[in-house]
Amino acid sequence: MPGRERAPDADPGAVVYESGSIRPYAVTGGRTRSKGELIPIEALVSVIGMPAVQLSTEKSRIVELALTQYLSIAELSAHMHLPVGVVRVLVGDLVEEGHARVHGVVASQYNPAATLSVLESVLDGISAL
Amino acid sequence: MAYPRSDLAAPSPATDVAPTTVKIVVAGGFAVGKTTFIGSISDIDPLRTEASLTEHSVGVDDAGDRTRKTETTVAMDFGRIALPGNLWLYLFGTPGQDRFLFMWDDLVRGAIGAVVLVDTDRLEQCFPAVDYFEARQIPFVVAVNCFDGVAKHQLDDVREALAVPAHVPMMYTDARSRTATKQSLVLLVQHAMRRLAN
Repeated sequence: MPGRERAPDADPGAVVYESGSIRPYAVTGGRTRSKGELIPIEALVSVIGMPAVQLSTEKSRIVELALTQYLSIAELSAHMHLPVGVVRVLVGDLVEEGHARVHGVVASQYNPAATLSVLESVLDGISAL
Repeated sequence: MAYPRSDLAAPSPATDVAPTTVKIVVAGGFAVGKTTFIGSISDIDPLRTEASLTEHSVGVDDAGDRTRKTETTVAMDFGRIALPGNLWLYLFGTPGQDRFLFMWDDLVRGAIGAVVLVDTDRLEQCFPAVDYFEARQIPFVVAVNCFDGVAKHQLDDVREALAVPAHVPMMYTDARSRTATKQSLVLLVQHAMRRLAN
């Protein structure tokens, strides 16, 4: 077997961003990210009632999808066939406009994956599957 | 393929608090079986999403002849498992090509850790994943996928070829098998807990 040479000093910053299609971002007015913290891809979104105001087609779709169930940014992206980045911006807007809530990112210091009791629950849960 | 294995009722935003979400990243070369692995245990059929931000630029996959995959979108597949205690575990497959490594930072932020799936016939395909998790000190385990149920190499030989230290857990797996997938995840979570305790 051909072996791997260890590369402990691999530079994580050495990435090349390619330029390319920005068409999906037309629905965000060209914005590729929203203000504030980047919403984790697994963060759950819920909707605060049916907004009385007229929303864009994409935002309406988010409201529709997340009205009766918790859905993550990733799931919204998959269901809407829109890139994760676009959904983040749209959800960021909905939160700012008071129509939606994002869960698990308010206390950004808290990382469940770095909390022993959470990992114990995950371990027990998987083991019992 | 996903059957409703968890009998946990989905919490409703109207009446229930939001589940706590955690995630595990499933990495490895293109067509190594990441989506199969995720689908073997997910409550939902694996979903496909396009990656975020500035990615796009879609090329032609250089997949070997093992694969029949011809899709060329920059996509990642993921699944979800509801666990007792109002916990949702997401499994995210990494886009399986080196040039999409820049997208991984977003994926791995806040993850419990990663399972690196390995095909010993194409061992070098997992090198970027191993490099990546090692450099960022993200807990990972190496799961050698036995495509035909036969292990072609000793784990010690794979460990040596990958140059991963002894504390990184390794195991054989079968991405099609729910039991084997479960064992890989258990191994990772145990490893992550040890890392956390130290």
